[in-house]
This record gives sequence, structure tokens and C-alpha cells, in this order.
Amino acid sequence: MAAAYKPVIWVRSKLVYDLALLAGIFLYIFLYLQVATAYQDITNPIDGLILRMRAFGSCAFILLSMILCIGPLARLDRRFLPLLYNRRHFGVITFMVAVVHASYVMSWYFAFSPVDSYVALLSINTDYGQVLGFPFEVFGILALLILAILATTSHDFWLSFLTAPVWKALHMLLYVAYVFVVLHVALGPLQSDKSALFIVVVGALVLTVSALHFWTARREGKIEAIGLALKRADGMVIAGRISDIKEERAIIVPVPDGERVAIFRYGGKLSAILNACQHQNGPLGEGRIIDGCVTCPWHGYQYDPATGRSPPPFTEKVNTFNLKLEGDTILLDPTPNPPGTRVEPVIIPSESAEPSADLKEARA
Amino acid sequence: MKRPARTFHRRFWLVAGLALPLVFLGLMAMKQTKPVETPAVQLEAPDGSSL
Repeated sequence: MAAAYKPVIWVRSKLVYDLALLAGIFLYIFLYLQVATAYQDITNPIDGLILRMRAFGSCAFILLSMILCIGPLARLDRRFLPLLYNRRHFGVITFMVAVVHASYVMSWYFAFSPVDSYVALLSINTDYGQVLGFPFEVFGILALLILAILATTSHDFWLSFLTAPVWKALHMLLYVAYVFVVLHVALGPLQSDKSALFIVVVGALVLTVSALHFWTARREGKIEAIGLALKRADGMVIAGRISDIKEERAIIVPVPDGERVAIFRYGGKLSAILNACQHQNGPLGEGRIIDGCVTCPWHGYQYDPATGRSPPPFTEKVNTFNLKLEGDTILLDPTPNPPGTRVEPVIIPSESAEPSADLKEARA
Repeated sequence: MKRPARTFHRRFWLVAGLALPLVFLGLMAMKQTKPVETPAVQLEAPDGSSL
């Protein structure tokens, strides 16, 4: 978070993250080239260019699978949150590895083509009606184009220019790119590969990514259903009990229109703000109060819990919500106040009373 | 307000989370097997040949 424009805000943790990532990539490429050379058929040796093409291609696939696992894993266990912090650099580096893979493809297979190499790439095999022998290159091209768009728009300038919801929707294209990459690999190199090892590795990655996201999608559906169930006849939403919220933490409450609200407990008070950070729509309710401010767990953006405003000189602001207490039960008005509207925090009585009849009924 | 990205994620992965592994396994099942290296008919030298 910076008040003045800086192209990239380099901090120690970002440098360590990027260096560790680059070291991992170099180590993988080195080991791949060593091991693949040692195990190749000596009567039919593989050209060095093809080996490097495969090394970078498999590396890009593994990196893409890892990126897709970070989000659900961070939801599952907070210890994965540091991986999420610099995920955009991870994505840009993956795109660069994929570009190196593509450049080896072009320089090996189409270098001596009588027609333009890009024309040759798209016209050498046009049997789209068959499964085996399908021109798998087209899936690789489409995936690379999507990765290029995502890498180009990964900078905070585009995030600010497009606004977080639009930027986030655009970057959902990564899922489509992953499907294309899986088809590219399954219809291409895995069809001609004689070893079962690569099939097992690729299959395990596909299964892991799919299972993690399927689990997250089901969880999201259940949360929305809870939001509808907790609405009372007077329009208020039963948010929970005071004792459900730990000091300087929040509970996340789904409201009937599909939005989520984070209710924070701090210094004997309760305040409610929108759960989506203005920066990248990170889950504010999974963060905590630091220096009196709600702090986003993704990138550390901060908001005053009573006003929903970032402390000066920052200008970000989120919606606030009205709360009231009925005994120990917290009731939330699901109608949002305009972003940055001050709402007086609800004072927690010194002794919690019994939960209200509504909450008992909702829990039953 | 429903967030379109969240809705897209949920709908996409409820389908793709099941379909993607199945498509992958299907494509691997259709993978061409290695050609048999032994001839279909075993050729033997006639009895009494000097080979």
C-alpha cells in the first residue's frame, strides 16, 4: 500500500519470494535436462532443443497448477497466505517460462518452413475432427494468449483503472487457460510419451487443482444458502453471538443479496464493514485489527472499522453496516451504507446475556 | 450485489472440477498403445534346414 505512485513496491518479502521462485525454476530446468539426458534411448537420442522445449513446457504447467492451488489452500490453512501475497509475480514469471517454451517450439519445428513459421504453425495440421492427432498446438496458443493478457494487466495500474470487480472477473480467465493447457498436454506430448511417469504427474496435478477448487465452489454455495436462512421478518440478519468473535478478529456473515459482511470485535466494541477489500477484493474478515485498523490478509490494506475509510493519506473506502444487539445476539442490517460512512460502534455490555430466541431457532 | 467473479468461480469449478479429471482420464484411456514388437505369426525355419 503506497500513497504515491511507484511502479513496483519492492519490499524484502517480495524479493525473497521472487528469488526463491526463480531458484526453484532454475533447479527444475537443470535437473530435468540432467535426468532426461541420462534416461533417453541412446539409439534414438533427443535433440537438445526438444529437451529444453519440454523442460520449459513442463515447468510452466507445474507453475500454473501451483498458482491455482494457492487460493483454495490459503482458505484452508492461513499458513499458505504468504504464498498469496505475491501471486501476481508468480503469474508473470509463469508466463515468461511459457514464452520460452513457445520460442523453442517455433525455432525447432518451424525454423526451416517454406512459409511463414506462424502460418505453418496454424496450417500444418487442421484435422480438428479427430481426437488422436488433434492439432493440440491450438490449445497452447490460446492459453499463451490468455496468459499474455493476464500478465500485461497484472500491474496495480490496471487494477485501479479497471476497478477490482472488473479486474478480478478478467483474471478469472486463468481457469479457462488452465483447461486449455491440460488439453494441450493431454492431446499432445502425453499421447506420444511412452513413460507412465508423466501421465501420473500431470494427472495428480489436474486432480489436485480440480478437487481444491470444487471444494471451494461447494463451500461458497453453502455460505450463500446460510445467508438466506438467517434473515428475519424485520429484515435484520442474525449474525451470531458476541462470544463467536475473538478479540481483534471478525466473523463473516453472508447477507441475502450475495454480499458478505465482516463484523469485527475490538476494545469492547463491534463494527461491521464490507468483507471485500478495495484493492483486490481480498476477504477483510479473514484479517485482523492492527494498530486500530482492519488489515486485509492479502496485501495489508487498512481500514478504520467505524468509517470503512483507509487512514490518511490513503483514499480507499468500503461500505459500512448498522448493527444492534439483542442480548448476546448480534443483528445486522444488510442494507449497506455508502462507502466511508461513519457508523457508531456498538458497545458490548460487560456481561453477555442469553442468546435470543431467534438465534436459538436459526441454529436449531 | 453479487460479485460476478465469485459466481463465475463457483459455477465454473462445480462443472470443471468434475469434468476436467474425467476428460483427462478419457484422453489417456484413448491413448494409442505401443505397437506389438513380435510378429503376429511366428516364422520358423523348416525342419531339416541348415539354418
